[in-house]
Amino acid sequence: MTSVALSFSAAVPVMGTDRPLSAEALAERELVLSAQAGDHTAFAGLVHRHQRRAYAVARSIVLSHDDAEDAVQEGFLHAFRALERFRPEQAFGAWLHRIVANAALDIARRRKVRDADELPETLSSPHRDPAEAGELRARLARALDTLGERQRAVIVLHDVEGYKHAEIGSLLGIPEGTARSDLHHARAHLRRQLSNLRSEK
Amino acid sequence: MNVTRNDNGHGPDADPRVTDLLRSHYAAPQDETYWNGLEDRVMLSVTRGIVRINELRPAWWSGFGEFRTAEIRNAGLIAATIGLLVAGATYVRKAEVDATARQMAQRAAVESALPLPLEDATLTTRARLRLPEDAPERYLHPLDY
Repeated sequence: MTSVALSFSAAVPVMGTDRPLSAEALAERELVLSAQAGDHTAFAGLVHRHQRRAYAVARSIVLSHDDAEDAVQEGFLHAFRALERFRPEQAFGAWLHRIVANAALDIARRRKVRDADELPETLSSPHRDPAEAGELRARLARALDTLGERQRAVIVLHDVEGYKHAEIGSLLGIPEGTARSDLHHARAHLRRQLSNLRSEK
Repeated sequence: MNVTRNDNGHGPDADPRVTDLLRSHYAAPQDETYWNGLEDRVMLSVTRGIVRINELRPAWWSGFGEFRTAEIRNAGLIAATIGLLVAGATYVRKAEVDATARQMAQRAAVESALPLPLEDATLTTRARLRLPEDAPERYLHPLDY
């Protein structure tokens, strides 16, 4: 089965290049085409494949786990509605993550306007990771809060999720140089904010 | 999900301890049941979204249901009035055209029944007077003649 798929993949180049599609990419394209034809099960397959990465992108932008979940749901819903406009020769993941990032940015802005007074509570909102509790975490949360929204997203996407500067620029709609500069400033800021903590430990 | 395609948080200006803290802070849930649940919730919201879209996009005929009886009556009266005016104008115009056609037909019938008055007539032309050679001089200087 795999060999068949691989041999088939070698015969199907990516549009505009000579690079062949991998079996994984071919399977994804099949899912996209089926979802575009109205197959909900195929769309569920796309959700299954991309939800972790989508969550990571959203979580880097919003302040809480719950908001990240909401952003993921909204992102997938937007993607489903816009699916007929998606061209299958594009990378579905990049397209989807951009939508999720926009949904997360939208939620972050709404949250900022509505719940400005409740920010400390939001920062300490529940997260599934048990290591979240404790002073270290609280101080990191405070330090992250003093970062700008964009700088925080950039450092998380880069240092936690492993995105490259160009990819971050594409996700957040900023130039690559800005992403590079934001990363530098965010790292310096967090180092300063947590320096006394590190010397205490 | 630490995909390391960049400097892995260990660039010259990065502090590995801060990076580790960040990774711990932003660690995604590891439990597989959580992701299955999220997938279900996403698909539920997609399904609900489709239902909502269908509700927000009504059929073209459903707009008629929003008309009230009085509105329908008024619209009907206006339409009927316009229809009557158009029909009346069309009838008058057609009657005028028919009358003109009838008159032309009658005239043609009368003219075809009568003999032409020129059949027995002799056409004559009056000979043109020939002016003398000095006529212009005479008209211009009548006292000299």
